[in-house]
Amino acid sequence: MSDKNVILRVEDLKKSFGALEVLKGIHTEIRKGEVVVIIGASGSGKSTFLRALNLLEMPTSGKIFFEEEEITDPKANINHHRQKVGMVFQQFNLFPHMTILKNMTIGPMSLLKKSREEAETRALELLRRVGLEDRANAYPAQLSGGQKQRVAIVRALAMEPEVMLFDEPTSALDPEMVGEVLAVMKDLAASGMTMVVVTHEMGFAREVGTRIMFIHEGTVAEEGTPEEFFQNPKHPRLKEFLSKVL
Amino acid sequence: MKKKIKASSLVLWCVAAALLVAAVAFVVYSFTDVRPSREISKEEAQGIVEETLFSLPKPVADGAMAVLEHVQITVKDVSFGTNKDVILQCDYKTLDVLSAVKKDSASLINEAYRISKEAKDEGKMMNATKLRLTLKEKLDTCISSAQPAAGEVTLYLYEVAEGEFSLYLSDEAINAVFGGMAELPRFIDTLTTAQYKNETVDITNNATLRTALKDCFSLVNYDNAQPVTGNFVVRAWRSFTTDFHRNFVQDNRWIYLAEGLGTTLSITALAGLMGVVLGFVVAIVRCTNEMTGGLTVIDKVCRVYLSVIRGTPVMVQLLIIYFVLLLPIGVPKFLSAVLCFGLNSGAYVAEIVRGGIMAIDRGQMEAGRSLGFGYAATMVHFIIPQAFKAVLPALANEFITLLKESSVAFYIGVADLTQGGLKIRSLTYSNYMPLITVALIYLAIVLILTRLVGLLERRLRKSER
Repeated sequence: MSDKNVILRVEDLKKSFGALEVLKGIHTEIRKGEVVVIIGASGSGKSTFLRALNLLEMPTSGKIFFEEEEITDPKANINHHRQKVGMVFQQFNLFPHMTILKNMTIGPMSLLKKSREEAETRALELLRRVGLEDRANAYPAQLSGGQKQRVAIVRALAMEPEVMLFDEPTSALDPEMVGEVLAVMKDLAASGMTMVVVTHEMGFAREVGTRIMFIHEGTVAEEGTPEEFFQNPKHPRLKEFLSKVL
Repeated sequence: MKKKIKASSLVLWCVAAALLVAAVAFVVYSFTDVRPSREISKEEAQGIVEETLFSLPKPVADGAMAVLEHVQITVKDVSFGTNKDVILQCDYKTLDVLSAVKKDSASLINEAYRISKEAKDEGKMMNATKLRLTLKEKLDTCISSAQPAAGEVTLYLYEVAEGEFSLYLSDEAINAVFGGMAELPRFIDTLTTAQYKNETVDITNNATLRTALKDCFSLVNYDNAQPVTGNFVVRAWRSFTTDFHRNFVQDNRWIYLAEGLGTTLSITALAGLMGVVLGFVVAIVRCTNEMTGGLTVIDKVCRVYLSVIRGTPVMVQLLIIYFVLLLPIGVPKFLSAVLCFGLNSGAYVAEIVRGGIMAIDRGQMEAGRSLGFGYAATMVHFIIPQAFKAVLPALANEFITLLKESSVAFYIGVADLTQGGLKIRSLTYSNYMPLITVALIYLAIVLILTRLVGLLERRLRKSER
């Protein structure tokens, strides 16, 4: 139970939107350093599951523990939890009225109470890592989609999270920009960051993922290492799905 | 392509310049050297002068008729003016009736008072005509004591219609020829006390006495304004300048507009500020309710507020807020107007801002929350700044609407710009000058504000591109 390496533990997670039950009881654990890739058809509930991990979707029932602390408890400090969980969205969701630098420093400065110098130094360092140091004073509208998504990733990293959630980070990008974003994510995985990624990029899943999770109709239909997952799929739905996307 | 545009705009400029030159030439021509259409002989001028002047005294005005017997006027020289006028140099002889009346004024008014007082004590009515007839002997003595006077005077004939001349009866001319008779009524009006049995009596409100004296010297009604000649440009310009002077310069009447403008601007600024604050609060309550389902009771209150304010005319709101709610507890008009327009504007601002907030992508809220910001902090840091930027032009337009709407404040007697114009109108009885000026002032401010809004919009767009 008290495995120090478990960052997120999910117990019987259920979520309904009105009469529609999207998640029908999910159990899983996410350990430190894992790169969990979630795949599934659209409408399968994979995004809802991911968003439930930082409570952007409130579960209807079930429990989620973050480092052994139950965050689904009504008394839990959700904002504090979210500071430790970085989130990257399909639509980037940068703040258009702020410069890139400000996008990246507002969180650390207002929530982590870092000084401006400290926050800016860290932000520039992160921007250098993704090759966007020179765009620090640009506004999001001046960037390409790929650049925006890279900024979104480092904005989340600036909060120094324990785990990063990616919700289809490349789905809104032009094909030629997918590569630059995936490169950043690979780099991040290589640095040992714990990641949960919802994606349709099977190449990325195979190459970077430590565990693949196939969600079908609100349950984890199959999971495993990339090798067994792609070479020997068991669930008929997974076979069908892989035959379509590969 | 670029050259073509330049060529066509050059042509436009040339046409505009030509029109401007033509207009200036026409105006200059209108004001220079407009001579009468025919010459006039000394004899004819003499005839017009005598006929006009000698028909002036009213036949019943004994004093005036008596003076007339002594008046002689001779036209010495005739020359042309440049404004359809003829300048006559004249010699005149007359009686200095003004000095005579001034000298005898005390005894005249005392006698008049005595007669009317005694008649009244006997129960008889004494009107101005009766009083004058009773005073006749004393008046005759006064006139016969008047000293002869003589001198030179310049009279003007104006060509009022083609070939037809009329004498310009200025007060100056009348005073010269009739020995100060144009001045006489004004002098008599200054007599406000009479002596009766060694007592000083105030006769400020006793018009009968003064009218009796004035009637003796009364002249037929004549127009002492300079005759309007020249073409329509000159006439229009004259009447414009006269009206302008009468409506704004005379008695410093422009101050009504200046103070009114100040009031209008302060009402608009204060109410606008109140509206923005109120509107944002209401909008945030409504949005929070829509997004999170909280604040149900306050949201209901806000909904009622919005329906009532947006469902009734602002004038009715103003009348109710002032006369029903605030006047009984002694709130001044200005403050009531500010409160009313602030409340009114708040409702419209709320809907604008709510639209702005709802139009912000949901992802912005999620991004803020996912970083660990609370709902309120996300609103403050990310949603409201964006919404504010998005609705700023609409807010500015609301402000412009408010400026214009504030003109109904005059219904509760606030001295705003509109009221200033109406005040001048009630003093001068002219309509177009004060009303059009008020409209032009509103228009000017609105145009300036619109321009500023445009600049602001461009500035905002630029900052993010």
